[in-house]
Amino acid sequence: MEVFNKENIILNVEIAEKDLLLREIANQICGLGYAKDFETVYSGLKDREKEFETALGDGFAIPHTKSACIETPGVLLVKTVDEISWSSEESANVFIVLFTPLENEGNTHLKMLSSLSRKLMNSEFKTMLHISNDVEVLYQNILNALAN
Amino acid sequence: MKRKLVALCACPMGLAHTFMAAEALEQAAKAKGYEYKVETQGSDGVQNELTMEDIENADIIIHSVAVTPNGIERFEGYEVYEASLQEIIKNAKGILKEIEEDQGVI
Repeated sequence: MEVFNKENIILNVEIAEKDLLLREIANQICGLGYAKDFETVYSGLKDREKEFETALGDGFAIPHTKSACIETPGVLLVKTVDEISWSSEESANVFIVLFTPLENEGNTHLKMLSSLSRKLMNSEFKTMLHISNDVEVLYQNILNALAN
Repeated sequence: MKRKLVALCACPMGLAHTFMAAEALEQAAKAKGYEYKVETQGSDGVQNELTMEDIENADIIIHSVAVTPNGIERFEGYEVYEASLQEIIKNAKGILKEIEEDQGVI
């Protein structure tokens, strides 16, 4: 299964509450076939936020989870219509969601996720993610970010 | 001679923050003309592992970790600056500047 596809880009999501969005994200991860157990994916994402909130500032957040119920690593891009309060200080409307199985050391897919994470420090890349609602543009840019 | 910076980044899941912090430190170090090497301990294992020689020769050692990293004993006896992953991700340049001020190099 591919780490990232056009189907993994979910735009114009009309959800304005953090917990509901985490549920929607878990739903999408399962719906796309990366995992089967909604509850485990959802509680993994939720626990991660409790432990260490994933808001990055500038309207970005990176919810992520690592779980035995995830079959192959993947990335989702989710954009909400309204900003959602994501931590005590930050709100977000662009979400880069990362998820992997538990056992995966040295896997090339993980290299892809780490290079995407590094790319999130690039302001041009972030601006593009923020501004564009063109699936083709978003897809190509994220694919490039995963590749190096 | 260029000043040398080494750093170690690690977070519980090793998916995102580790690499974002590493990237932020590398960019800040590069912008300030440092020679640099940043070790990451993430889901993909240990990358860019710091040797005793790297640590010995460093002018600045930074730890940005949210877990106890592997090989912490390598740093025994050296002055290590600690900064949270969030601080580094948001303001690596500012933190590097504070360290330089602390060391009296500015």
